[in-house]
This record gives sequence, structure tokens and C-alpha cells, in this order.
Amino acid sequence: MTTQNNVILNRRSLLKGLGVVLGAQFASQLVGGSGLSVAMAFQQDSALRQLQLLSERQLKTLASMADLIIPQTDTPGALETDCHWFVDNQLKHCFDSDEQAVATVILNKIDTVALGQWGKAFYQGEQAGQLALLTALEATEDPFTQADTKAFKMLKALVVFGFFTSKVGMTQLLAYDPVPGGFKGSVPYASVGKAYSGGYPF
Amino acid sequence: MQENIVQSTDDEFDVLIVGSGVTGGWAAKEFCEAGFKTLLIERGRLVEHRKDYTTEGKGPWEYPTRTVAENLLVDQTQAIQKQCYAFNDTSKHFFGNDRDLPYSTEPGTSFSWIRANQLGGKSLLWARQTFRFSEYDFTANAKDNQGIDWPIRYQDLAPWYDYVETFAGISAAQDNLPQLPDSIAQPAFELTKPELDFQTSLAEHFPDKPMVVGRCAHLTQPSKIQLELGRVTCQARSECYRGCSFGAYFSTQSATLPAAARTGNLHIAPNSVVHSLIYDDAKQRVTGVRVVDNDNLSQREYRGKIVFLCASTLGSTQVLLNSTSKRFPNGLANSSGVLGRYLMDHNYNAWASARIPGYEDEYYRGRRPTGIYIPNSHFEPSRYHKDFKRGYAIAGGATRGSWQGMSQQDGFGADFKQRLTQAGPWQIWMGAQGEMLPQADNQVGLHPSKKDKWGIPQLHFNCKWSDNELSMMQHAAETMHKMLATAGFESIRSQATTAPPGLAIHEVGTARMGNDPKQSVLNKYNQAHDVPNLFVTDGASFCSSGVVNPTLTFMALTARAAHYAIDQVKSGRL
Repeated sequence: MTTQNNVILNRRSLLKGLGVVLGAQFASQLVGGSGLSVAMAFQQDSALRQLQLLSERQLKTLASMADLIIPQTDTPGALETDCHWFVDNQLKHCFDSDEQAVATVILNKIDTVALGQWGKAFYQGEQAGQLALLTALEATEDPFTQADTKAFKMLKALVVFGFFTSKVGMTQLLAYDPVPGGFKGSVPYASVGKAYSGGYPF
Repeated sequence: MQENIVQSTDDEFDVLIVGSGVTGGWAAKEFCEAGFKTLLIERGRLVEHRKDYTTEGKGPWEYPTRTVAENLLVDQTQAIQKQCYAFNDTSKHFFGNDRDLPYSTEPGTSFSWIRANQLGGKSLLWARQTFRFSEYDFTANAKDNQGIDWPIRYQDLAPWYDYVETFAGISAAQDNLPQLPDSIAQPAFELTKPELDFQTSLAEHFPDKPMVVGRCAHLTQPSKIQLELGRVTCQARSECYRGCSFGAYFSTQSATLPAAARTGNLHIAPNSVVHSLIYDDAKQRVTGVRVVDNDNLSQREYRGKIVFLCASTLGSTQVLLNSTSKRFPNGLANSSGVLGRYLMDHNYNAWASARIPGYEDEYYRGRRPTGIYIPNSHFEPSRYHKDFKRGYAIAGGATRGSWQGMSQQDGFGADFKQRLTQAGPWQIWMGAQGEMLPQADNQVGLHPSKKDKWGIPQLHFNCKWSDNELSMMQHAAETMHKMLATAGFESIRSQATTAPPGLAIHEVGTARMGNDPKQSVLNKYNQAHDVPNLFVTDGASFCSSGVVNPTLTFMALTARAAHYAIDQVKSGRL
């Protein structure tokens, strides 16, 4: 079964379940409105994708950030695995409104600081300038506060999470071992050479 | 499985079993194998082995939220269930819907009631750690005058532990410890190198706290009995909470259900919420169960000669409390008045962690379904700590970190990316599992007015830790800290916390066994003192929580009670 089919199937069973819980009418309202129709909206198919929480501008800021955090090397990076889209979806569906506000506020601040320094948006800047700005943010240098650094780290962790739970991240960058066949208490690290992608629930 | 399904029927069954989790599955197997026409009554939907493990084998990238459960859904339907460690997007369909399963708590108290209402119940979700109670557990109440004495001793249950272990398949070492009797076992899982060295350190510096390998209901060398049921060796995938198509861990689906079904005596009534038991005042027997359909709320009855209540500790007690009659106005088999009282859980409110320096060249392979285990050292009154009675066990494990622990580190670009692909330092985590004393005031009762959608009065909880449990957790946190420090570990953290009872999901008590019918609901065979053809064999029957995980004892008690009932029927006494 393709992923696309899974998404549709999940969506169907989800709606069916909610119909029982909420009554069919409420469920259909949710589908029609901004509620449940977006629950399964993080599509592998980019043509079907819709922004969930962020504005287009914030998504672009996030994408530039993600590209600097985990760039393409001899393996794909955060952009190629659509981590910015993932983070937008995850913030909307798995974080509370306070956390969502923290995320959008820091994205706006990054953009505002860039505008002040360069006269253009963060995503329009040179990579060297972007990296200098984010390095200052990570180190809590002026004009950034400790709260800003913390907010940035939250987004950074989400980018990392999105990347290493993507198929590329799990199967190409890490030692993917879905059916180990048993447990061995001691093997030389060199025989594996990288971290396992596993560990519950991964 | 469709050929086993029963909806409406006028048949009288030899035995009705309420609940299809660990205990219901065992009762079904034993009665079916003895030739009894058996009806297994399950309030939830059917879950077929393999076919209905819909999330098994999927990578996280196949989930839109990468296995994190989605806010809207969880807030509306599973806000309590999500507190369980095993709850996420891959397992949430095996947890109950809080909206349908309301309960209340006394002001100033809290209880997290985790539900798994489908065929197989919590046998699909349990953490599968399996330890025998010891003689010290069965005598503790009498020795330090808490609750009432268990009506059985270790020797009563030992052959039944043998019996259930042989069938279920337990992975364990032979440790020869008086407080942790050995199991009939398949090979133990291996320890990692740092764990082995920690074991040596403990043996030297904490001689009363030896470390053993956790024992668990996973096959490591399946026997003919298990292979015949289609069960094979554990693959160490750590997907257990999604259901296991290898049948490598014990569940109703993997083990007891197919064993029962192949006899031809098994009938299953799914979607059948038991409202109450039918008691015949003249015969002084239960004659059947009243059922409300899970889906369409229609009512029906099932008739049987014997009833085994295996609906989980609180589920069984709720059914008894709601089964009132002229003879039993306060709940069936409740002439003693103790039904609902002496609710216990295990206390998980202490943990410790550390970084283990070195071992950079060491790694492991697979995801082990158990860990390290340090049995209770306070197992008899002479070994009690001055601040508390009874004691606690410690479970944990050492693993290497990964990107999950490094995702907030400083850095950007190719170097950062490369660093995250490497295994991190070794780290160790340990948590305590403490005994909870039996107290009459820790109890559940029926709410005077609130009912669920099936018309069953809700449970009202009044349960909290006593000073004994709080002191024990302080001591546990300090002790674990010392163990880690003595071993030379770094960045040690430890904490005693105050989460309310429930989340160990080891709830026991509320329909306890005992020799005195005035002080207990059940006799030493889990048979109701007041109603000879009624048995309760789940955790409700416990007189004390003990220290170890209760499920193996649920199995042994159920098998023992079923064979007692079978013998009584065959000899014409029941």
C-alpha cells in the first residue's frame, strides 16, 4: 500500500471514529472547517500541502533555518526532506497554543532583525549572514534574549526530529534495523559505525 | 474467528467469562481444554491476531505526526489515556476513549485509570515483566499487621506459576534469590557491558541489592507448545504495543485464545458491556449476566452455570457493586462490606539517571524488551527501613544516546549533521517500583447519580498515597543516587515525585481474598464466599500489592481457580 493510500485510509478511519464521538454533524463541520481536515494534511505529496500554522513568510524563514541546521551533503538535508513543512504541521497538531506562539514570535523576530541589519527578509539574505545571525541567536548575543535562544532551540529540535524521523533520515543516515532478530548485549561500535535509528517508538 | 462469535443466544453455557485480557484468556483456555462450553464476554471490539495490528511495521515517516499523537484527538478523547507511557499514535487505538469511560475522584485525590477495552484487553499493551511473588509477599500482611493475611502461601501457588510459565514462555535467568523465586524459563536477555560492570559494582558495595536481568514474557527459545500456536522467537523490534505478529510476547491473541479456540469449545461475545450479574435469590447462585451492546445499546442476557469475573481489578469490582439484589443490596458477594476497599497500585515516584563514562567502542544490537532489575531488599520486617514498611524494586537499563538527546546542542551545518548520526555517550536510567500498603479508606464506590452511556453507574475513586509510600520514594531516590555515584557514573540526577496512583497500571485489591468471610469477598480459590459459582481471578482479589509486577500472579491465580472449579464440577460439588 502506498503512503498516499495510508493517509487516505487513516483519514477515513479518523473521521469515522470522530463521527461516533462527536456526532456525524459536528464531524462534518470539522471536516469542512479548519479542524480535522488538516489533521492529516502533512502529505508526502507536496502538491496537496497546505500551510497549517505559519504564514508563507514564516515558512520561508524556517526553511532557510532548517537548511543551515541540516544541509544537503552527500545525503539529503532538511529541505529535501521537507522538514519545514513537517515542523509547520507538527506545531499545529502536537503543540499547545502557547508553544505555537513561541514559535511564530521567534520566527518573526529573526526576520525583523534581518530586516534591520540587511534591509531584506531573512530568507533573502546571504547564507553567511544568515548563519552569523542564527549563531548569535544560539549564543544569546545582542539583540537576542535567553527566551529567544530557548525558542530557537525548540524549533531546532523539531527540525532535527523531522529530519531523523523522515525515511531518508532513518534509513540513510542512521543504522536502520527494523527487525534485529534478537538482542545482543555487546557488539563493537565500529561494526555499526553510526547510531541506530531505533529506540521506542522508532 | 468469525465462527466463534455469538450475539444473541438462549443457550446456557458451562461457564461465562467476563473479560478477555490476561485473566479472561487464561480462564477460557483452561475451561475449553477441560471440555466446558465456554462463553468469553468482551465489552470491546474484536482484535484478530496479526490482521488487526494495523500499525505494526510502519516507519515513523508513515505517520503525519511521526507517531506523536495529535492534540485535538487526544484532548477530546484520550486526555487520561495519554498519560500512559505506551500511548502514542501507533498504539492509541488499543486505549479506551475517555469520553465513554467517565469516572470521578474525591476532591484532593486523583487516580489515572488506564483502559484497554478490546479483545485481548491490556494483554496487548502490558509491559510484559513477569516475576513471582515470594513467600515474604504472602506473609507480609500477617507479619506487620496490615490489611488481612493472604489465605494462600507461596507453596500453594508455586505449581501454578510453573504451569503458566511453561505455557506463556518466560525469559529469565536462575538467580536463586529468596525474595524473587526463579521461574521456569527460557534463556535470559543479555546485559550490556556497562550493565555487567554495574552489576559487579553493586555486588561489591550493595550486597543486599543484587542486580539481575529483567524477566519477561518473551520467547527466546520457543518450546513445541508455543511453536504449535504459531509463536516464534522475539525479534527485539520494540513494537510490542502495536501487537506482535511473531506472537513473541504473551497476549490473549498470541497464546491463550488460539489454545482455547482449537478445542472447539470457545464462543466469544464481543461488544458486550456487562452491566451486572443476575443473582437468583432462591438458588443462591448467579445464573447469568446482563449485557448492554457496546454499539447500539440494546440489552441482552447470557446464561451460564459458573461465572468467572476477569474484567480487570476495577472493572470486576464495578460489575459486582452494580449487581444488587434483595440479598445483596450493597453489591453482589458483599456481605463483608469490604467490596471496593483496599485499592492499591504500585508507586513509581522515584527515579535516577546518570552518564556512564567510557565504553565508546561498545554497542548492542536490537531493542531489548526488558532491562536490569534490582529486587526489593526490604523483604521482611527485620529488613525494613526505620521510616517505612515493605519496600521497592528498581528497574532500568543502560543504552547509548542518539540524536534525540543531542537535538538542542549548539551547532550548524555538515558537522552538526554528522555529529547527530553518531551514537552518544552511555546513559543509565533507573526507576523504583514501591509497594503500597492496603488501607480501607483507599476505595472505589458507585457514583450516586452519574452513569456512563451504557447506563452503568460511574466509579468514584478515593485513593491516595500514605506517608509510608512517600517516605519509601524518598529513600529510593537517595539509594539509587548512591548506587550510581558508587559506580563512578557522572551527571547523576535523582528525584522523588508525587504523581497520583493509577499510572503503574498495577491496580489491585477491592475484592480481596481471605479466610474470614466477614473480612473478605473471596476464599482462597478466588471463589466468592457468598456465591459458590462466582469467581473473581483478576487483581481485585489481591490482599497486598507486593513489590513485583502482578501479571504473572494474575495468570497463576486464574489457572488455579479454574482447575479448582473444574474439579468441583466434576466431583458434583459445584
